[in-house]
Amino acid sequence: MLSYQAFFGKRVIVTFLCTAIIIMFYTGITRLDVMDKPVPVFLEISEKCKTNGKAIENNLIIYVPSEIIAKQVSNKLCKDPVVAKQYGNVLVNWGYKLGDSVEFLGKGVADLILAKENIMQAFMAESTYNYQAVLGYSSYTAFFISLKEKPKLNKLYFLDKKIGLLDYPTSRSGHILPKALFKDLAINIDNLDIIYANSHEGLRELLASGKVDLIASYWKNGDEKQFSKNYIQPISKKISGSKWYLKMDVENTDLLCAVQKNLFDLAKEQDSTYFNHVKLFKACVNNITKKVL
Amino acid sequence: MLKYNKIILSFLSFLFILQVPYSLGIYITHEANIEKSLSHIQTRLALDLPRLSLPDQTLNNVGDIESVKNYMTKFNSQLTQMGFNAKINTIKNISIAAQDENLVERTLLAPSEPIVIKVALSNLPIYEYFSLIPLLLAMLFVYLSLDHIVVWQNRGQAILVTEEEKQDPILIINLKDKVMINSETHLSIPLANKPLCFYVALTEFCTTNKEITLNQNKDLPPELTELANKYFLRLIELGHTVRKRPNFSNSLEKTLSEIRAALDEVFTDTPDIKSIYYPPKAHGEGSRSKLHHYGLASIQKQHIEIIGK
Repeated sequence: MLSYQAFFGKRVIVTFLCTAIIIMFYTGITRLDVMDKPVPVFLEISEKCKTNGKAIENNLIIYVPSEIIAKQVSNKLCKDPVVAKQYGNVLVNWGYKLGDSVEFLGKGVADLILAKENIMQAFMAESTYNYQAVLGYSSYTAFFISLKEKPKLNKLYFLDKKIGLLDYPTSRSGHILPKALFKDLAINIDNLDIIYANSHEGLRELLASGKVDLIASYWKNGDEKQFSKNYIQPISKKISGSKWYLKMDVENTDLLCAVQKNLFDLAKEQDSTYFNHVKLFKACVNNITKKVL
Repeated sequence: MLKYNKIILSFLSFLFILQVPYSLGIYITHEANIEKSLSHIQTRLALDLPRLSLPDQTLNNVGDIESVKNYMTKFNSQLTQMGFNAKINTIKNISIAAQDENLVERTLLAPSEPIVIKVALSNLPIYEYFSLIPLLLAMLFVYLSLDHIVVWQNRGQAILVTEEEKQDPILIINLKDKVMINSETHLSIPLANKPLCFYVALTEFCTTNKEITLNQNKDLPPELTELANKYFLRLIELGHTVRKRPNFSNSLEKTLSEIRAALDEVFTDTPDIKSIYYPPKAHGEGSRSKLHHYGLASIQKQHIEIIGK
């Protein structure tokens, strides 16, 4: 009985209680998971795939501004036997910024690149790095598109209009050509009410919602659902579409023909009329005889 | 019924005492987690910032709203996967969810311009603050301290009063009136000078000298005689007697008898506590036995109160 009292005396219980309080506090502190892990990189700007080849040190570097097309191209080329003979990996970059294309093209880093002719000319990449066009998308015309009337190409017409343009300066139909036209018409661009959009789709939304009176873009199939073909005004003659350029350091014609064949196959799989109408450059005998547009 | 109420009450008190530190610990970790996850989110966002197509007035860039939203969705699924309680809500006016959540605003000071971001924090579900452990511990503590709880719940009731009196009964000896008073029954019994002095001296001696055996066959210890003389002098001072000091060693048995008789009367109604104050009689071995001890073995200082000391 004495031991019972000694064990359960007030002091002992209070001591236990204090210990228990400390233990409970410690348990509470350690109960939750500690969130002390850095967030890993999840933003993808490139992808690497392995070919069946043994030349593991050689990378075929591709730059395409669009992520979807980039992945399709790399999938195709990874499976290609000619590519496998020469390269161990296919490294495709799509980036997120306009400036990326300047880096890849202007420095000659990319072996294969999808670029516009005007960019290629700006960096003189054809002569500097011997980039050669392999395949090009069909040329198109830049238009002013309006909702309620056919746009007129004179100074007075533009002065009280809200005009939708693209915010990236490499676009010919949505930025360069309309601005060049304003210059020709002696309109100070600062006096115009210009609203910028990030894409041709964004421009179309601006026009359809009535936020702008006219936009500068190209005409594509499906536009007649929203807009009238009678209310478009061409700004220029045909503009050549984007082209695939291959860096031809050496006379690697096998690679050229393999790339051309794969890109051609890919183009045929596309739904968009722009991307499935292609023109082949640097005739490869096999491709031309077998496939005619 | 009262008994169970008190047990439940003490259980709840224990539960509260144990639950609060636990919840506090959870809360502290949660707050620390929020800070850490905010810092990780900001780091990630700052590193990805050059890759985001954000609106920029100075360069006429409208920004790619869809791709930024897409980025935030990916970011959030990454955070969910990692178990973070935070979700990114807004980067520079581009929001992916409603604003009415618990939002924390941070500013990333980029070289071009400050970028304001908002992070939605979800509160920790309330059940996370509770656990079975404090509950079980509280039960254990109620079990351990059951005896104390029972005592505590009876405080103020008759049973306990007697129990407490048993522990600390008080015999009051008033030297001014030469009486012994039972503080419980307020019964006062007069006592003659000699036994009174001797008894007071005996109680005081016994509280301090437990190990000394007082035997009738031996002389009184000098300390005891001295104490008795001191109290006799005190009685003279109080004017009770003018006679000279008695010899306390003489007729000790008679003195003890007188004391016992008085104590018998004082504790008539409470005989069970008398033993503390009662100088033991010799049993069996005979009054002349050398083993007999008439000292008060169990007396404590708090048992006795002397008035007019």
